[in-house]
Amino acid sequence: MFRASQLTKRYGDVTAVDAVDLEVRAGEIFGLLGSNGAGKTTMMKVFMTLLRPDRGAAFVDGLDVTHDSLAVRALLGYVPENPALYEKLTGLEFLHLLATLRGIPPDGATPLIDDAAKRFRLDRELELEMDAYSRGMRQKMALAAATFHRPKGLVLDEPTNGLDPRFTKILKAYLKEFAANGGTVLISTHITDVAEAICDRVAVVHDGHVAALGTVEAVQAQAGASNLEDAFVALVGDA
Amino acid sequence: MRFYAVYAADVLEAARALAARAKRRKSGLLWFALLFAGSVWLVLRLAELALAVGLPPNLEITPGTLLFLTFFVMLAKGAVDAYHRAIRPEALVFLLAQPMPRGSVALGKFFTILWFNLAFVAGALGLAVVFVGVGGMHVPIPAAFAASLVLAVIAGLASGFALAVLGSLGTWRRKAVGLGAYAPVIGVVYALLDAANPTMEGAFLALVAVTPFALLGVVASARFLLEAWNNQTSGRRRTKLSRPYLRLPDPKLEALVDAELKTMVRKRQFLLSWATIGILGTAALVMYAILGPASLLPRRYADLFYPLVVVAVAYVAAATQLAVPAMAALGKELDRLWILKSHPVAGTTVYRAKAAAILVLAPVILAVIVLPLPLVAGFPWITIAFLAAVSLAVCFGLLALGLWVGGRHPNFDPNTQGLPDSIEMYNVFLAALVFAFVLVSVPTGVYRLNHVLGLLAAILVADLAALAVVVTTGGAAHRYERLDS
Repeated sequence: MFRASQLTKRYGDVTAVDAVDLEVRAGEIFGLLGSNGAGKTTMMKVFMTLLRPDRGAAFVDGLDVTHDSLAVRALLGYVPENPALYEKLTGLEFLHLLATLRGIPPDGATPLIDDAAKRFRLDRELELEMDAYSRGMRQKMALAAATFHRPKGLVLDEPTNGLDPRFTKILKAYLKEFAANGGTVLISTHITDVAEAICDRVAVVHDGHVAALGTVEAVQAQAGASNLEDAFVALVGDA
Repeated sequence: MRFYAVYAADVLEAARALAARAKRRKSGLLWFALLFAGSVWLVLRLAELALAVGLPPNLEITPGTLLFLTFFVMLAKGAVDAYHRAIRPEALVFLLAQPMPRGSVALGKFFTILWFNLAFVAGALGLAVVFVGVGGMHVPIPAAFAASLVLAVIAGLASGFALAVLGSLGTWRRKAVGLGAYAPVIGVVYALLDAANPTMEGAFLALVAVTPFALLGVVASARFLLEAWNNQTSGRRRTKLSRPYLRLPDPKLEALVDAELKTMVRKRQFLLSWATIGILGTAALVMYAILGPASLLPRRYADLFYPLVVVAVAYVAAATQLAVPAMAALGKELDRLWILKSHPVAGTTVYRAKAAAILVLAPVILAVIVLPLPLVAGFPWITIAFLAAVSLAVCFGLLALGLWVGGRHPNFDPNTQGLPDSIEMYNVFLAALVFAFVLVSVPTGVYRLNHVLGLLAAILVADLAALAVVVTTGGAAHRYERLDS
């Protein structure tokens, strides 16, 4: 579903992603683990067509992200690390706007939005202008916006930021169900517990390179550690 | 002195952002210097001409009038700056949460605004002295007038700051009481500077007396900064999905235009725009009421005076209400650019929506500024149609200019909410002036030879300016598509 080939992205003199090869299979929950500035967000933004690669290529469901950007966006749902929203629109107006942008007619959008609102426990919040949202509410709205149209793939950058433990549990259950129904999830997280709980495979990203890749158990074995947290520290160093 | 820490950090950040942009675009800085010097020269030259030739008999412009106009313009500038720097930014939470009086936050922000605006005034006065002293221009700049100008700028900015805070309070009643409480200061400034027709020294003394009260307004309004900030960064509950403001054939375009319009209405930007256009339209009518019909004017002014007034006021409205928002069309998206860029919607649709949402104000400019004075003055229908067509050309042209600049150099600075920095804004205003002059002068030349042909030329120029909007929208959309976010 997601494939990167010699993917390289630079910001001035800094190489954020350096000739990365990566493949995420359909129906898989794939975790990107890495310290701050490792290159996870840059990789995800390239797949979301928000950044253009300087070298190499990235594909989503066989579509080139550079040349087929609209088609790629139609397939995916995205939650950025800090989801800024249209502060003066209500949640309901926002979701209807996104439905229209995805070509979903109003009568088709309403049941999808209702469904997403129920899934992410958004009720009266939908009537509020999003200025008034707390961090957790913004995150829930961003998750609803990324999933309501039933995409083929999800790109989630630190999706548990700002969520309480109860809702983190709900999200994990949803992602498992999503993948079980054939959806693909590319998720970045600092929280190794989340990765251990839901990811089929993980990649540890360090300084723009993939330092380790495989199932959680395989990465632990590669690092000679008994859990993912220790494996992560062993692979990226504790400095 | 805690306000100084706020001020120092603010100025440092803004100066660095400005320096970074100037470094990226050195030609912009040179262009700015030339235009700035050119505009100071132009003002002095106009003053020189007015002193030599004289003004229409009923048009009495005294130093007090000029100082009051300065005060009034800086009041508007101060209000806009205060809104963007002190009332709207969410990041203000870090300052409001510190163990220091809120007055220090307000004063720190106010001094930042003062610093930037006084830098412009100082530059302009310095250049004026050079032009008069070295260039030999015959315009007297008495020391009392220069000092009064600085005081009028300080008093205007302070009043604008206080009005912006008081006008952002939680309820309409509180807004009305707050604004009403401050209104006497503005009334006193008008009475002392304009109505009393003081001497130069008298105007200076009046400003010396009034400025401390205006500054006290900043301190007093600081008590309400928290309420204003909370009110501006909080949302309302809306139980129903409202209908789109505009019906358009393309559903994506309609949805995006609607989101833009709803945001502008709910942020009260439209209210501000309508008020500005209303004030400008009223000012044109008041001028007509004071000076009387064209037949009462000296012959050299009679033909052109009121049409020029109409077009000049339309330029001011188009520059501030169409070109400036167009410049900020992309930059104002700031951190939420991901929303549009991660959805399957083409850049052309995004930019068309932005242009359409801004263009909604063009008919308001026509209805409130362009048509009333000619109708009241009883202009022939062909002159009215001509003025409407050239004004529409100016609206389209300046919108295109704003879209072009905003698409090429979007400013994602949260401190200005996506608005371009002062240097860029100034450059664009002056470029807009030249552009508007070209758009108006060509059909005017034809109109003076033949009215019907002139009208047709104006319609053609308006068509071409509309085409410029289409072309610049496409160009800006192309840049938007290639923008890393």
